[in-house]
Amino acid sequence: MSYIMLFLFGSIAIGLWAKPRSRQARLIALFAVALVLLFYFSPHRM
Amino acid sequence: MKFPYRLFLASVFLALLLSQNGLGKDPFVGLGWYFHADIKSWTGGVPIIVTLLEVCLILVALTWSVRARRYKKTWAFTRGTLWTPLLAFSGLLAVALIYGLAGGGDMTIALWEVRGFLMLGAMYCVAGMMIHEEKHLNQLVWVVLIAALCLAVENIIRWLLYLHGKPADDLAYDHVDSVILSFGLVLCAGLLTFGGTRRQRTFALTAMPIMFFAMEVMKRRAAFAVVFVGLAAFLIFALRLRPRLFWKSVLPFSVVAAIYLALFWHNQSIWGQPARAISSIIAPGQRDASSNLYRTLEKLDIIFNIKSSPFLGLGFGKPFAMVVPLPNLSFWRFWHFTTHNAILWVWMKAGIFTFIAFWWLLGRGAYDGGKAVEARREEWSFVAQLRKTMGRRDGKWDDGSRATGGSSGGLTSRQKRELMRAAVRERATNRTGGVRQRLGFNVPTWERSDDKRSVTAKRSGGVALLVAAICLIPMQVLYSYVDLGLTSERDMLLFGLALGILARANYLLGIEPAPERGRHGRRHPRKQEKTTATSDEDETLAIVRELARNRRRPTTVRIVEDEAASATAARQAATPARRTANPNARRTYAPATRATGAAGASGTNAPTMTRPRPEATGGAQSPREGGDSLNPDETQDRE
Repeated sequence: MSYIMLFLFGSIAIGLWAKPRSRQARLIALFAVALVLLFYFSPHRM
Repeated sequence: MKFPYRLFLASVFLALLLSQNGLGKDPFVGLGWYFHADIKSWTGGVPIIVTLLEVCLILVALTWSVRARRYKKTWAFTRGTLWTPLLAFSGLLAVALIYGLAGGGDMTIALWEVRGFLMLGAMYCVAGMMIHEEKHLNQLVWVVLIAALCLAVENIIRWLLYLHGKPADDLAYDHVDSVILSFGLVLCAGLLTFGGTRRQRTFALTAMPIMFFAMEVMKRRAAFAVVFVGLAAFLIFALRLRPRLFWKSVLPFSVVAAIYLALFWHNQSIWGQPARAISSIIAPGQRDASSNLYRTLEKLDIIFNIKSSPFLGLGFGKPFAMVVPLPNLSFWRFWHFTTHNAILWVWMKAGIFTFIAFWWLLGRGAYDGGKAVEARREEWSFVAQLRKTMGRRDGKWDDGSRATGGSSGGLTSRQKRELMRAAVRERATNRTGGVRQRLGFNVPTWERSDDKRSVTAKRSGGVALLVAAICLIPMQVLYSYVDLGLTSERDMLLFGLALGILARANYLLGIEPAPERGRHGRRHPRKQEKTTATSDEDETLAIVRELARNRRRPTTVRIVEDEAASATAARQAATPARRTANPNARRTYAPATRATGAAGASGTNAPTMTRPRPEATGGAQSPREGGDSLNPDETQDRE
């Protein structure tokens, strides 16, 4: 759960603090992939 | 377009207010059942497998489409920024549905499982049809506030009349009430912190304790956990938008909260209930411990099922394997199909790619919402810098041609007025008995005033609703992690609405122009104003239009001392963004908050804007902003 919250709060923080870049939206998609892969390889972190 | 819009608001209101299930003795619950259950189930055999809520939304879409076709250009469905992730998620869900049914899944169960997601997508689309302006956001604020307050009152009445003030079991209240009340609480906090109309704030102040008391009456641990997560997200926005208030209030509040918790940790009186809510999470009692155990065992089952089919999932309509026996919930029809952890359930049922799309949708929603709020903040910063830079003296615009040594940088009064038009917003004032549209300075929502002599834009709860919608994402995720949620139509209606707002936040807040569309019911929509400057047009207006055209790019405004070259130089300063070949070169700028306000000895000043800002002409703002000129004699600066 903590990783999920980190992902969501991180997405909010990027929107609020980071300078606008077109690739940021893609970065969010990459984070989503990374989150799921983390769960896939470490199911105990789910 | 009045009928579909009103029906849409009424549907949202009733869906939030009427509980889907709960204590049978309460007639209000029965009313809710008629609204949320399949029509077939209460008409006795008529094979209509949709609910009244769904009928209302279908009617909204149909009437909108018929009327929109009649008024031609009013056919405007805005996809929003989350369209692609939503399509990907929906497509993968459809694949999982077909896969499940093809593998022998139960169709009725499968349709019930995806019903919540259908509602999510439907509300996202309906929001794109119905919500087009900040005015609509304010009306939605009222709908949510009134529905949440009525729901809270109804739950308290149920507790008093039918439960005689005693704690009830889990099924006495609809579990989704927790999310709706939590959302209402965060919205109230948003209105009080980030501004709203006077009535909205008064209402919020009154409703907050009632909602909180209703949550305490319901005694749902998940509700308090959801509120805490929502407030944590809320504090991020408070830190960004109102840092002074944040540091002034958070530290004293933390100290008071720590003292309160220490004193009331084991207190069972009414004053100790909020502390009990926290203590039960950290040190659960007997009932809480059994609830935790169920979820722990269920998670083991989920992990086993995910490992058995990680890529395609089980498919909807098929039961999951209970390798670890769970406590008996056989009265619940979905016991073998739906897990309480609805987040991991998505992976278990629909596979890893659907799970990725799910997080993509939610993460993108949080990101887009945060970006829109930040764009609005920078816009306010930009306007403040413009005002400070151009200054006013003796009630008139500081004219650089005069020997004032002024900060104006050589722009004439007229040029300054025109430049400031980019920075004003509509304001409705009630003068001489009628409502007149006037322009007001675009200041932060919490600094605006309804006073007749005020020169600010009119008050709005739009930002508060946007912040609450963003906070709803982690709230909804936490709730669904422990207590279903994603399978509830009522819950997904609110969530879909929030995502629909977030996806269109940029033009709802006026940060960028709305897609071309007509106004409600007008046969001949106002034509878009030309954004190309002609030789006859005022030079400064051309600057503003250049800025507006480059709204998607970081733009730097430079006002120079030399009067003769001022307008040309300012225009040149605005245009490099369009001319630069390397897009990265445009991104080297300073944030607006770091721009210097006062003119230096060199006379140059560079208020900067790093985000999109509203158009001065054209788009949705143009009819409003072009409707009245900004008369400096009428707009007395409060400073």
